[in-house]
Amino acid sequence: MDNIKAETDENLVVRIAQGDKKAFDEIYARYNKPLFSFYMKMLSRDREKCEDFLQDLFMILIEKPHYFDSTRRFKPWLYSIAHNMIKNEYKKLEVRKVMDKNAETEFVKSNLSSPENLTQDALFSNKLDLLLAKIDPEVKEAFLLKYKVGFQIDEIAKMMNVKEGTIKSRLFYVKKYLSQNLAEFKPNA
Amino acid sequence: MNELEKYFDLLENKNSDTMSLKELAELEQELGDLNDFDILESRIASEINSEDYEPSAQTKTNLDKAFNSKFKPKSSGIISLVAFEKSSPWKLMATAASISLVLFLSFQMGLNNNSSSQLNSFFLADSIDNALVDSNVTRLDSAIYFH
Repeated sequence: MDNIKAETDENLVVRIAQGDKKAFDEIYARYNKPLFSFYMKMLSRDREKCEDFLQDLFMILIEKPHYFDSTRRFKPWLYSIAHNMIKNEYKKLEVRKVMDKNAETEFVKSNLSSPENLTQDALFSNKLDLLLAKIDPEVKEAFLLKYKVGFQIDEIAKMMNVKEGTIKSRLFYVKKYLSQNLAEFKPNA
Repeated sequence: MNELEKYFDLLENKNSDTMSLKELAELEQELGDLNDFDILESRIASEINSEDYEPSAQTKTNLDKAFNSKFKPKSSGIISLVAFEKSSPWKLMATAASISLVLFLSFQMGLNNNSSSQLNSFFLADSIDNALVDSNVTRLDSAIYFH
């Protein structure tokens, strides 16, 4: 019996290269939401753009499945492509400034609407969003890859084509920045 | 390379001598400050993981089409026509009828070369266009499928 749920990502990609639609559906089911959420976090929640990016990413898998070396792990490979797409986007559009503006506006709006009704959790969530939107995209990406996607530091370093020390340094800065700016939310604060 | 990167490089490569002990001590102190983050870490992690977004169904539909067009065998013109008929028999009938009418009118115009006949043909052709629009079939569709 073909238990596709138990198949490894790497085997599924081999099957995709042979035209196995079920394998493609399974890979899509495994990764569409995490990747889309990652794009949304990195691209200032521009839903339309994120949809395009997700589609383009899976199109690579359809059109060029042989680009993947099946002796390596699939997930870091997939996120490496996602990383390169985001990097190119930042280069192309210089969205950094726009992101800051958008996030600030969003934050201000959400707080202006009914500040007294916002729970501590909602305030925390809004402030975290604002803080993450303000940091350098590469630093933010390293942070999300570690804390959202769950990659190891060496994997992130390979993905982003930098030294492990650089990733540790980026994570250090994010942690310090967040701990300083979220100090009011500490249990004993 | 900034100071912190040098520090982490130093940790990875013990032979490196890029920083003084004093600098290292200062950095150790800074690293100690991360205790604050540790307190918030689980809350931050749970916050960034709680927010999940879902792409629209259209994205999957587009990908399915792309997958099928890449891996399904290419069909010949006749097979396409049959597939077209299966998927949309009314469109095929409307297209066939319009082509027959166009041919018929062309033939008539050739036989009867006066202006009123041409005018009638024009209006007939216009009504064909309307019919095609009604059935969502265009002349371009006809040209493509019968090419």
